[in-house]
Amino acid sequence: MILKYVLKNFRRRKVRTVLMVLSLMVSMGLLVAMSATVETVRRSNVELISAAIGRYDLRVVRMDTSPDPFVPVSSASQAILQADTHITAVHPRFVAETELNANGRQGNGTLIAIDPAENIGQVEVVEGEYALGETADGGWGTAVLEQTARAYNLQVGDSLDVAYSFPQPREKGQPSPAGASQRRAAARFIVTGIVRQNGVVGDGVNDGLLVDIAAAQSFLGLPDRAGQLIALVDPALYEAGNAETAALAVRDVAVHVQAALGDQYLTIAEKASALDQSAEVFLVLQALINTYGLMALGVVGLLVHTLVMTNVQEQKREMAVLRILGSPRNLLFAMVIAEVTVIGLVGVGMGIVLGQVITHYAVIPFIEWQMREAGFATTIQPAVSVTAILPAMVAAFAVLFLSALRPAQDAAKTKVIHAINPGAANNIQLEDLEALRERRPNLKLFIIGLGMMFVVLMVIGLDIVSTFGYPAAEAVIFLAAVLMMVVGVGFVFFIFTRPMEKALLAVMSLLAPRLTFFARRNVGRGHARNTLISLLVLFSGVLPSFLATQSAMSNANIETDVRLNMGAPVEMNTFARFAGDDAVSRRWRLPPSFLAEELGRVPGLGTAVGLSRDYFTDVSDAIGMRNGRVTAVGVSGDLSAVLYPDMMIFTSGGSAALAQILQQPDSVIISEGLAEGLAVPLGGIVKIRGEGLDHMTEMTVVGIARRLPGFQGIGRVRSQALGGGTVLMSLDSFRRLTTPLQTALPPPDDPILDRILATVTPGADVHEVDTFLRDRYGLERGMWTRLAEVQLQRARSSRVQQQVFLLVLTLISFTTAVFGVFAVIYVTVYARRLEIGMMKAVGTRSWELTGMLVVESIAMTLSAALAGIMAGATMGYLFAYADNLTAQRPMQFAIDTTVMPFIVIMVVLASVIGAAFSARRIVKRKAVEILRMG
Amino acid sequence: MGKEAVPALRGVSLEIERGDFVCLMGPSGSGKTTLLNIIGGLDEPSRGHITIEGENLVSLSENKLARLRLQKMGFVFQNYNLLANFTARENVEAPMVLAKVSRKERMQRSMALLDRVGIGDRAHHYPGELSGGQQQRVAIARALANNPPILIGDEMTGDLDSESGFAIMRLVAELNAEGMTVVFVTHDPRMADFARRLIHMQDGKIMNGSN
Repeated sequence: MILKYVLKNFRRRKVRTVLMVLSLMVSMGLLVAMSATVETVRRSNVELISAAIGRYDLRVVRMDTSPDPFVPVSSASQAILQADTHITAVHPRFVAETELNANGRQGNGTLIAIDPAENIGQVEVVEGEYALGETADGGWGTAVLEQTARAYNLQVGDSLDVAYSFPQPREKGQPSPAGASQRRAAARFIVTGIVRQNGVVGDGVNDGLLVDIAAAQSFLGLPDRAGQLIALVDPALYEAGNAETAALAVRDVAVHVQAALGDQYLTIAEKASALDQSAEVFLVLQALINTYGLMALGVVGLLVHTLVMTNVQEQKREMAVLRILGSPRNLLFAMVIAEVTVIGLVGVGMGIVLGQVITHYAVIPFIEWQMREAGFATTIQPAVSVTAILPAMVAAFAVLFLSALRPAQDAAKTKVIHAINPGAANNIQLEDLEALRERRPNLKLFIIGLGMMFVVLMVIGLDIVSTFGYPAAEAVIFLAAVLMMVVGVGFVFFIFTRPMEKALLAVMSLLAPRLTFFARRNVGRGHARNTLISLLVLFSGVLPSFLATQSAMSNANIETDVRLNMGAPVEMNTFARFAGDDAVSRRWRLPPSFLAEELGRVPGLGTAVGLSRDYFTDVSDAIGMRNGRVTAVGVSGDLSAVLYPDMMIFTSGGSAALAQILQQPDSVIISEGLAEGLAVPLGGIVKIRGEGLDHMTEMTVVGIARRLPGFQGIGRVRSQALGGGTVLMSLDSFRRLTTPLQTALPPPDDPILDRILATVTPGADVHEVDTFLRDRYGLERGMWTRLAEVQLQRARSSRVQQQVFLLVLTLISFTTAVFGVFAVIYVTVYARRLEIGMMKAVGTRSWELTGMLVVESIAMTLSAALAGIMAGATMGYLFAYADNLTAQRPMQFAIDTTVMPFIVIMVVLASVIGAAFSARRIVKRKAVEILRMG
Repeated sequence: MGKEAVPALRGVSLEIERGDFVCLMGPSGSGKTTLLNIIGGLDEPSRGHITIEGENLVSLSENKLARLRLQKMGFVFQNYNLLANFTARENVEAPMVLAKVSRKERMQRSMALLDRVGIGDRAHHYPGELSGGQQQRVAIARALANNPPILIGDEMTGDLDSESGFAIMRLVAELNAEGMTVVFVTHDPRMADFARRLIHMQDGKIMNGSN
């Protein structure tokens, strides 16, 4: 009987039912699509990681303390294959840094010696052919990587000399022996092809050459030996439910291999390790989607609540008749719940289908296109799994149940008097007496208490999940905090909706005075529904506006950020800065003469100043009362010649101090934070601990800087300055500081530079300079070059993608809000049908009635959208200013011109369409017909 | 089964003079409200015509009919149908806004009308704050807003107690005495006594007078 009644109700209220189903379908569809996208990308992540690291699972090398650095291929391969049944293949390889010589140029490159039959990764032939075997004249062929071919101007048929220095084993507990290798081997290869590799080795290897492992074994004199063995495991191991499980399964295999080979070997599972690390990122992403999904479903819940409540109010008389006929209260309750359940089943079902369609035909092709753009030619299998759908389904039904609860309770409370005299139904009836006598738990006080405790609960909750290590829960708490902030700021800015409504109506009254006369009263005086509409729109506008403002601010300040970050138009970092190991770093450092002899000849490059490595040490005032830690940096020349002058702020000493540190021995420039922290003025003394025992150097402060571009360690924040902030000195002072007292100073041209800051000569082509520096020094010197102008161009081009992402987010955010607005307007129009009928009777024309409703709707939603935009933008500016204040960055004000106008357009369109569509059904009727609807 | 058409009026012919005070009476379903709606231009007959001051309402478009109602008719309904979000004065102003009356004139005229119906002191009250009788007075003031020559009343006193009902009818009689044509429907013979011409209807036909 219940189902029959429910179905009849649907037939009677087609538009409302369709609205509820549609809104549920769209929000559910988007939620499923987003979850499925994350799931798909997570599964595809194995593929991405393979491309980044190499399409193999395990790598086995000899420990560097092993007397023999090479792996015996036959015996070790056999041991690996027997170690675990999940190992499917083992292949020998040499992957090593070698010296290359061709066409009069010398440099370094990676020798990749592989078994041509191994078929791991892809080799794309750019020119020639991929043939690694012996050539017709008895030599060995090589496929040279494109970047190397360009750097050495190699063509197919050219010869390339390769020299390999054999590694020297390290004694256990001792550092690597210094000096050159005692043994070298060299060979000449004939270039048979110029290629690109994808997944043969990691995607970071772009320079070098591919050769046959047999050739490498031959010229190195190492038959049946290899630098490493790579192993493949059963791909089914990666099919596990989540990344962490898959990573742990591969680790188990690695453990078995390690156990089989013993402690002279090292088994490395880079792919599993990267996968394990990525698992956390996906958890956070999923938490973000779930939080957003709850927000979207919350809006749908409001909509369903409003519409179902209206249905219940309209059916009061019928329900009262049912009660007179003997229906129990719980039947009326069940009728409403059944109605919403049927809507839920249809809406959620259609939403799942829609989600799958979106995932298959929109999201996946987009991701594949993005991956192709990024150089990954791969196909993704969409994964719309139960794990993607189930949480969304549960959340949807929970929200639906909650939104139906109140209307269902209201239905259950229907009094028989509703059928006899509806006007008197709100008065106390006999059947209310029992409820009046009963004392009930005070839910309002409970909710207020919960709200007041929320902050504490969040802090405690965060503490607990941090302690027990649930990153997903941490993310949920963090996002809940963001959500609360959005809601909070929304409520705060809700106060502006009324003044803005008035202002908008004042403007509209100039254009359509008669229509505005009616709208003004209805907007200003309809409380509950107008508040609901305003809040729906306002909340939907906050987050996109917040993100858009942050994006606008970040884009407006790209130039400042790049200039401040790099310090000079050209920044070159040597590999030494990233090597970690000091022995390796030393190999890559540059001598000061490099500046004049090498960089001085680079066309388009102007003045260059070298910076030493960072030396982390102790600092104190003259008597050691106040102390801290600093990073000492030596400079080879006058930095004022290369640094952006408008980015420098000196509180004392001025930019002349940059020259003074070069002239005055043991003088130093410190940060404002350090000067304040140590309470040392200009001309004062700071003591800096040098290398070795008893080595304290007194240095005179010749400059105090608040900000120096390119040096993040110089600022006004005391805690940062005392925790490792930068101090600048001359290279000579730096050498003295970093050399133990009883040790001779290194020669002046000893490699010491880690970083170079330079200018570009006026009129120079920055792209040419960039290409030249990369080609010339990227390979030979392991240098990473950045030109500010090029960086800016790249950042600007990536802005378009960012804008598209924000617009999509806004579109999603407002899709549900539009449904909400539409539904509330629809109900409002329906509830005011008698008023509309009367207006028609007294002579209002149809278009005037529609116009009135449209004006009302625009005034309400637009003012709420503007308040939401204000709230989001204010939050965005607060965050941006706070961030820049602590980072000492100057900031340029900016206003978003894409997302916010988009919000306004969407809101106006939704209002016009919503109001016009809702009004159409009533307005087109005759006045008497409307009045007869009662 | 298809829907069966049930005629509400059968061959009704009626002429009402300017300044007449006509009451339509009859049992439920007799067609009196349908006739009143047709006279007021709210409904149209499936056959025949209705002429007001020489203009055939049947031939008018929806918009022209609305304009005619705005200028020539005032409506008073049983359940008042006041705009809930508008004060008494704003309710009276509403038809004047539609008729493009200037703001100043609207203010003056609406206050004068409320004084005229005896609730000037309640001008700034919302309908919810007024009694049934007061609301019906506001409805009458609203019906008079654009000085229409015809007042149409559908069970004007149906929801009112006797005292309030009589007060409303006395007000309507005063308006009629000033030259306004009044056509109204009632079930209450006491209210019908105010009319100068009584038309009894049954089964869609006029039982006395013209038919």
